[in-house]
This record gives sequence, structure tokens and C-alpha cells, in this order.
Amino acid sequence: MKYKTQKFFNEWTKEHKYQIEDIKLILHLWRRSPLSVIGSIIVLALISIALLAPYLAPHDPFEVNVPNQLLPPSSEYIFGTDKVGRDILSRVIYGSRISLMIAIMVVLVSSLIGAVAGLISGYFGGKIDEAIMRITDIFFAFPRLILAMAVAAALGRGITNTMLAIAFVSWPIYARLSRAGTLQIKNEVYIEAAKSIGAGHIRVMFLHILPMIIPFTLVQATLDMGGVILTAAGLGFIGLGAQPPSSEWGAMISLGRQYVATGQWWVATFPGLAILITALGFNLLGDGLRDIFDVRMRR
Amino acid sequence: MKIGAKDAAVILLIIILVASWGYFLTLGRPAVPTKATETDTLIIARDISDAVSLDPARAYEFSSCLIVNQLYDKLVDLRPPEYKEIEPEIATEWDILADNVTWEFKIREDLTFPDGTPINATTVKLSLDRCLELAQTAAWVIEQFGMGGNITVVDTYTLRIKLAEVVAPRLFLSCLTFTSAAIVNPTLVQEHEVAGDLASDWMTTHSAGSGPYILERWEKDVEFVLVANEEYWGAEPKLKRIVVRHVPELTAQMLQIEAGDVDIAWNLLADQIEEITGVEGIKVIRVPSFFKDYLGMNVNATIDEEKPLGDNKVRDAIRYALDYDAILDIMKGGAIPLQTFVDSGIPGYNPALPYFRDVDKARDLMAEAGYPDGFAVELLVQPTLYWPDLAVIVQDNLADIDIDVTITTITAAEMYEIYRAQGHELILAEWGADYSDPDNLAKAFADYTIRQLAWRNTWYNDYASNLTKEACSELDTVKRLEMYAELTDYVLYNGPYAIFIQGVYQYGVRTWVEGFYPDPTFFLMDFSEVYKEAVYK
Amino acid sequence: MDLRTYTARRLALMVFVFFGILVISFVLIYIVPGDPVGAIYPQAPPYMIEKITREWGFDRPLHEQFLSYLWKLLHGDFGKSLLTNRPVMQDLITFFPTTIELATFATILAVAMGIPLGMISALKKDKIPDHIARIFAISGVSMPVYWLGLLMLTVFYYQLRLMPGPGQLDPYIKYPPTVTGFLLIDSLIAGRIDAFLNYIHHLIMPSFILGLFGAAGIARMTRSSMLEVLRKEYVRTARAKGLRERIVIIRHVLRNALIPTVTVIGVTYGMLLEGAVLTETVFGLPGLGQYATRAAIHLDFLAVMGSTLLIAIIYSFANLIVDVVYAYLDPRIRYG
Repeated sequence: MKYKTQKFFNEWTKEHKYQIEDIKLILHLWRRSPLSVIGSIIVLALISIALLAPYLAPHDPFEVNVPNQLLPPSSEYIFGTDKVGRDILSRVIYGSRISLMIAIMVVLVSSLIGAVAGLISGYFGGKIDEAIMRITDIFFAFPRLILAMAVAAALGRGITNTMLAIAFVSWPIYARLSRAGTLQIKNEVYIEAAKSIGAGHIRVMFLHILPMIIPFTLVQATLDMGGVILTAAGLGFIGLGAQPPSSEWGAMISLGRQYVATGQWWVATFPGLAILITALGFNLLGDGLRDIFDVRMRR
Repeated sequence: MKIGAKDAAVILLIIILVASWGYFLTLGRPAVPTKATETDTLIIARDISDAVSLDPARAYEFSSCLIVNQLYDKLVDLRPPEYKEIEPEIATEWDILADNVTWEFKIREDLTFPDGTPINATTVKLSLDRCLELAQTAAWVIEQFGMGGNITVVDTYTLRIKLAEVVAPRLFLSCLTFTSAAIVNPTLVQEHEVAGDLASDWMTTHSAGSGPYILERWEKDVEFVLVANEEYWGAEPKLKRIVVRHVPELTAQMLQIEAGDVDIAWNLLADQIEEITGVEGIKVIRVPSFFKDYLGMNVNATIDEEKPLGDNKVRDAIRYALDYDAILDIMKGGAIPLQTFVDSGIPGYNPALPYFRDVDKARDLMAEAGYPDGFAVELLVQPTLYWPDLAVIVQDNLADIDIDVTITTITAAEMYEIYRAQGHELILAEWGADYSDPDNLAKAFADYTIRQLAWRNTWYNDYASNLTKEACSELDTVKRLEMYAELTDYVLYNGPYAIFIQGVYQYGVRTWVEGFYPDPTFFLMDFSEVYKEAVYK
Repeated sequence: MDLRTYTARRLALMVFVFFGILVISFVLIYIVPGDPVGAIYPQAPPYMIEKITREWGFDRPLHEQFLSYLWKLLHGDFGKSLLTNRPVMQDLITFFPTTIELATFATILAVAMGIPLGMISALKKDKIPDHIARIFAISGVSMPVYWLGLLMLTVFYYQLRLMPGPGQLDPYIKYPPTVTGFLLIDSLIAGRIDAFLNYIHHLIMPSFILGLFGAAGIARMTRSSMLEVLRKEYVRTARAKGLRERIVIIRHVLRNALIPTVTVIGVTYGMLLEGAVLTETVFGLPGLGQYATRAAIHLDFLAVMGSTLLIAIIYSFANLIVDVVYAYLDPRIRYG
């Protein structure tokens, strides 16, 4: 029995030798870039906090306690309290769930739609390509925040529609990227080879080209996360984001904005720092990934 | 990675920069200026983006009316510091004639506009006719009495206005204090008339009045600049210039007043006011406004095939569930308790405050009404200022009596569309008196035939509606006030509202400013008594 | 294809894009629920609201409104703003100069910060200065603008008294007469050097914050294209010839590396027009951003469409100019 497993393992390793080498190289490059490491640590910390929120938060993020309003940071309320007496630390912790969910959902949806659109565009070329590219042109020229506001307002308020609105605005970049990648790859020899043995369009597109595009898309996705969180925060500013009493970071900053200079700086500063560190983490990670894939490409 | 000397230096530099940033953030207040820089110019920091036109027949926004009132005079006025009694301005005396619908005004003699055009009964008639003809939103205040076509000049300084029906004196006269009843210069109107617009286009950005100040400049979203009218017929204004600068960010306003760069910060919020209270060189000036905040309950709202808000016991339960103290706590100095619909400062004010938080009583009422397990309901609220915080408190309070509130923040445009269509369930909103008389409030809160608040909340109550109409035309002032006492009580206990506070306007003012008595509305402010001391006390 | 054809083709495409924007924004704005008229004067009686709605033609069927809008647009009439009651064109002319001034200043700062940062990163790759430069650049795109703006106002204006407060000019400085609408130009025309300098002083903080955003992108592009070029043969040749390092960098590396950076600068300019939105509100600058945002919040249809179109036009032209310059500099592009 053990022998069979061993044999299977050896065979599998041999078959996927190049992929394994690849992964080893990626890990090595990643380790050599301290900024990527920092970025990854931040992102991992964020994910952990989001998952472990109920265990980490010292208080109930929704507990209203008006006599305790606007207390400065202390040992009991480490980040202080807000206008209706809620603990800011707990709200920031729970807020990470919302922000992370928004970021992941938006990036997932927009990158999928965008990548596929770009893939189709680049692969088929001609009129389809022109049409899709003109559409992305229009989206690019549109002021992002205003477009997101209009879409969010049109769909109605709430987190789901906010996510759809931001995704609606974000997909063109992925389309452009994946189209550029597709154009590069579609003339490669192995694609010709696949086609010559009768692989259909769908098969070629999704089995051969798409995997090659994933690296760029992944890089852009990580870089986008920070921007998505900021856009969601901007929408929360005008009531189009998460509804109260939800503890989305952007809504927290918008509520706390009047206190920045009145000595209750903690109400807006901690969610602001949370956004900053999160966006920073994703950006560093994305930047590092870009460098890594760059080197690999050049190999 | 090896760290060389140069690298270490860079790291050290960065650490110093970040540390000093952190240090500066925790610094206390810098030294406060002790002298007013220029004593004949008043600088106000305020959000003026709402101003549309300075033509009195058009001006209906806070910022435009504030300015218009400095540029123009009216027949009668309400003046600082109290803004309570009707006082003569262009008119010296007035009386109602035997038919009870015609008013006669005596005009002050020998007055002129700055360009020399005389002010007399004809001028007043032309001004009022002009306003009614342009028929803009602001005109409704005078239009409501049906005086169109019934303004007659008896002689040079006597004017008669005939109303369509009997109207209480205080009501009619307080409407004449509104900016749309301003007296405009007919010479300038004729001179600048374009395509039948009665000079409205020109008057949007120029003054054609006889008031204590003249408009030097208006740059949209930047500033208003007023200069004193040298030819003013009344007491010479003490300030030579008034500059109102557009500062949309309230925190920036606060920083400016603390730094001494402006003399008045107009829009500060309660916590910001608290911050500057007691600071040397700054004083806080307050005036109860004519605005009140309330929770509206749609009588007709269908929830789970029933209409719980249609039962007054349920509404009473809600009124007993609210934590009025917590709400006042949040508003800090920015609110005073109020539960009836006439604000303090207006005749007819009812100080009764019978409701207070009593969860047990509220629960009993809910059970009596047949909702022991409560129900789910949606609360509409705007996402700005303190509204979301209020909504959260209401949600929390009502949860204690098993009413499950879902908060929906929506922008004003959508909220008012729904509200005006009676499409809401619960709503948090505010309402301001349009002028210093209880009638407009009664019409809004009690009379559903007017299609304002009572109608929006589907409270079709004929008793309240009829009482409102009666009180509107009651000539006997004492009797009239009794009617409002009855009406306010009735609405308090039976209406679709939980009124909880009256707003208080709070201003950050440098101590070297004297004579500043802000008005409770937005169109009565008078700067002619304001002046600046050279050194603050 | 030659330069002229390239340009012409791009211009034709731009018109198509503008039309697309018009249609999309029109559809979106009308789908958006809410009635702006009822909210502008929340206390106005219903008959007044109905009257205003009729006056503005908002009760007519959608396609009629769109066609009427297009027709007027072709005659240069952008319609009237519900909030300001002035022609939208007039509003745009009033407000867009300030945004241009802000975005231009911000771009200058973005370039001034971004290119050196990118250079440091490239030349000291993987060493500490590289890391610090990269963190600094990335922080620029990670921060909520109004938060940073308020913090800077508090520290630099209020506590340190180094920077001026909000607005374009200090409260006691009188405005020069409006000639072009660009305060920078108007103050010079009127000979008011004090106003000119004061305004620049006021622009520093908001431009810096906006510029941080752009600097990140510029730094990144400079870094990667410099690294590309540094690898090239002709650089090795130059070094082998014994040229001093500084001359190698400036004459050979930088010039070629900056070409793709030019594209990014164009994109940045467009981004900054948008980013100006929140910056303008915090710092009280009367520009297009705060006009458009206010219009969007209040559903002032025509104002939103007018500003959206204007921003899109400026953005597209900026991109076009950049692309044409790039094509001019690098012949490979236009033959591609």
C-alpha cells in the first residue's frame, strides 16, 4: 500500500516538475522582497482578524450606550467610543469583515467579467474587439465616483448593491489587461499546436490562454483591493454604502469626520488607519507579485 | 540586506519626521490672537452653496435670505435681540378696517433709495405686485392671502391691502416680515428689465433695495461682500464691510475661528461647539431655532397585513419608548426639549412635556393595542450630520418594546419623494416654521387638507383640520392663543408624530464681536447693530 | 499610418465615446429613484412642486426629454441646473478653472515627487531607499483623502500656522475682478501679486494630497521603465566608454525611460480631475468636483450630465495629447 502511494507521489512529482520548480522560484523571490513579505503579513492578519472577529472584539459593536459617548482611548475601550457610546475597537474589528467581503466580492466579479470580456475581445479580434474596446473606453472616460454613485443609487442602498456598483465601474481594467495578454499569447506556438489537433475555440480560450492571463489579473486584483475599499468608503460618505448600525470603515470615518479637530480624534482616525493599513498591505502585496511575475516572464 | 551609514541616516530621519507628526497632533492650542485685525470688517465663515438668487421675489434659501435681509427693507419687521414683536419699518402704523379683510398702512415719509428714488405707497404696491407676478416659490408666503390685484394706493403715503378672507393680524403681519415682501427700487427694475423678467436676472446678483447694506460682490460658492449704505435712512450701520466666505467643511470653520482668522463660524456642530466653549477669545452664542426634529409615523403603513401605526395606542407606546434624555445628550447644547408643534419663541408655544421614557408603560400599551410581540418596521433617515446617530438610538429604544426597526439611509431627493407620496413607515425628519406665527405650523402638522405633514403621514383628522382653519381667521388674539393651546395638546396626544427636540442654533463668535443677536429663522438676521471692539475683553 | 491619420482616427472614436457617456448617464440618472424638485424645498406645498416639475419638463416621457436634451446640446445649450437655477454651461465655466488649476498644480507636484522617487527606487533597487520610496508612493493611494486633508489642516494650518486655511484666499485679502475665471491669471492681470502668491500658498496642501495619488503611479512607471532601460545594451556601451555615471543616467537612461512615464502622466491628470472631488470640499475650493458631487447627491440631472461630459472631454483630450506625443516620440507605436 505504502509503496503504491510512494510510486504515485514520485510519478506526480515528475509529471509536474516544471510547476513545482516554478512555485519554488516564486517562493524564493517572494522571500527576497521584504515589502511583499510585509504586505502578505498584513493581508493575512486582516483575514485572520475578520475570521476571528467574535473572539477578538472585547465589546458588542452594536451596543448603544449614550452616557459613554466619545470617551478617549482607555484600558476598557482601547480605541475609545463613538457618538452613541459604541466601542470603536470592536467596530473596527467587525468592520474588517465587511470591508474584506466587499473587496473580495467586487474584485472577484469585476476581474471575472473583465478577464472574460478581454479574452473574447483579444481572441476573436475584428468587430467584436472594436465593440468591446469602445465600451471600455466609455467606462474609462467616466468619472468613477460619479458612475459608482449613480449605479448604487439606481440599484438601491445596501452592501450588495454597493458591491455591484463598484464592480460595474472596475471591470474595464481587467478587460484591457486580459486582452493585451491574449494578444500576446494567441500567436504562440503551443496555441497553434492545440488548434491544429482540433481544439475548439472555447477549449483554447479557457484551458490554454486563460491560465496564462491569471498572473496579471491576480496582480491587478490585489492592487485593486485597496482602491475598492476606498471607493466603498467614499460611497458610505453619502449614505450609499452599508446601512447603520453597520460598522463599515468608510461609514465610520464619515460619521467621525467632524471630530478630527475637536479633540475626539479617535472616532475617525482608527477606521482611517485601518483602511490605510489594509490598502497598503494589498498594494505592497500586489506590487511584490508584479515584480515576481515580471522576473518570471523574463526568464 | 546590509545597512550602511547612509541608510541608517535616512531611517533616522523618517523616524524623526513621523514622531514629530505624532507630537504635533497632540499639541494643545497655540497662542490666541488678542486683537481684531480690522474692526470695521466682519468676516463670517459659512456654507453659502445653497444661494440661488438675491432677488427677494426668488430668494428662499438660508444663505440668500440672510443677505437679502441686509439689502432690503420691509413694511414691518421683527428685530433683534428678541425677534418677538412686530415693529414698524417702512410702514409707521397700520390698522384693519371695518370689513375685517382690508388693512391700511401709513408709509414713512421722505425716504429714498440710495439713488434718490423716493419710497412711497406706490413703491410698496409695485414691489408686492412684482413678487406676486413673478410667482416663484418664495411668493407663497404672501400669495396665500389672495391679495393679488387688491393692493391699492390711497394717497402718496397710504396703502391698502385687501385679503381674500379674514386672517388673524399676527399671521398676516409676520408674513410681511418675510424677505419676499421686500421693497424694491422701481427705477432699477425698469432700467434692468429684460424680456419681461421684471429685472429678476439682474437682481439675482445686484441689490435694488433701501437697506443698511449694499451688495458689492457675489461670487458663487466663494463669497458675499456687503458694504454699508451711506444713504441709509435709519441708524448708520456700525460695520463698513461684511464678508461671508464659503467654507463648506465644518472642521475648517472651527479651525478658522480658533485661529482668529474669521469672526463668526456659522455652521458648527454640537461637538465642535463644545470644543470651543470656554476657550479664551471665543464665545458661543445660542438662539433656539424655529426648527424641530420629529419621528413621523405613517398611519396608513401596512405591516404584515395590519396597520399598527394607525392605532394611537401604538403611537403612544412609541412616544413612551423613546429615550429623550439620550437624544438631548447627543445634541449637547444644540437642542432643547419640545414635544408640541409650536416652537418656543413663537406665540402659541406649548411647553407641555408629558412624554418620558417608560418602557413598562410602553409595553402595556402595545399589549392593549394587540401587539404584544411587536412588529417589524422600516425607518427612513438621511445619512448626514447627526441623523444616523439618532436613528440608531430610536432603533435601540424601540427594540425594547419588540418593535424591530430596520434603518434605511437615503438621500434627501429619494426620501422626500417617498415621504411626499405617503410611502414610508417611520421617518426621522425636521420641520421649520416659515415665519413667526403658529398658523403655518398648524397647517403643516394638523391640517391634512393642506397636504403637508399631516397628509404625508396619512392622518386625516377633521377636528384638527377644522380647528386650524378657525384659528387662522380668529381676530381676537387671546381667543386665538387658546385655540392653539387646545390644538397643540390634541396633536401631542393623538397625532402621528413623536416630536422630541427643538434645535438650537449655536455660533462660534470671537469675543471682540458685539451686538450679534442671531435670529431663530433664516431671514430676519440684522447686522446693523453688530460691531467689533479693538481689543477683546 | 502617419500621425495625422492616427490623430483623426482617435478624434472620431472620442465622439463615439462621448455619445456613449451621454446615453449611459442619462439612463442611469433617470433610473435613479428620487425626485430632486421635492427635496430642494422640502417644505414647499405640493402644488408648487408640481408647478416647478412642469416648468422644467420633468413630467414629459423619457425619450422626449433625451431628444430635447440632445437637440439643445448640439446648439451648445447644456440645460439649466436645478440647484443654481443658472445655465449649466455658465456653472461649468465658473467652476472648472479652479479644478484645472488644482489638477495642474497637483500633477506638477505628482511629477516632482514621482519621478525622483521612481529613480531612487530603480537606482537603489532592493536597498532601503528603494523600500522607503515604494512605501511612500504606495501610501499615496491608500489613504482616505478627506481624512488626510483634515489632519493636515489641523496640524499645518491651526497648530503650526505654516499653511493657510481653507478657501482660495485669506479672508482679509480681497478678490481681484474676475476676467478669465482662473484666479491665478486674474490676479496677475490685476497686478495683485499678493493675491497670486496667497492663492498658490493655499493650493499647496490640497495639491500635495492629490499629488500623492498621482505620484504613486508615476513613481512605479518610472521605476519599471528605468529598470528596463538600465538593462539595455546601449547603457552598457555608454558605461564601457568610460562616461561618468551621472551622464549615463541623465542622457541615456532617463530620456528613454521617461517616454512611457508620459503616458502615465496623462492618465494621472484625468484621475486627479476626479480626485479633486473630495479635496475641493475639505479645502473649500470652488471647483467642478464639489459642483458635480453636490449635483449628484441632489439628483440635479442636467448639472450632473454636463459636468460628467466636461470631465470626460478634458480627460479624453488629455489622453489624446499624451498619446499623440508618445506616438511622435516613439515611432514604433503608430506603425503598430
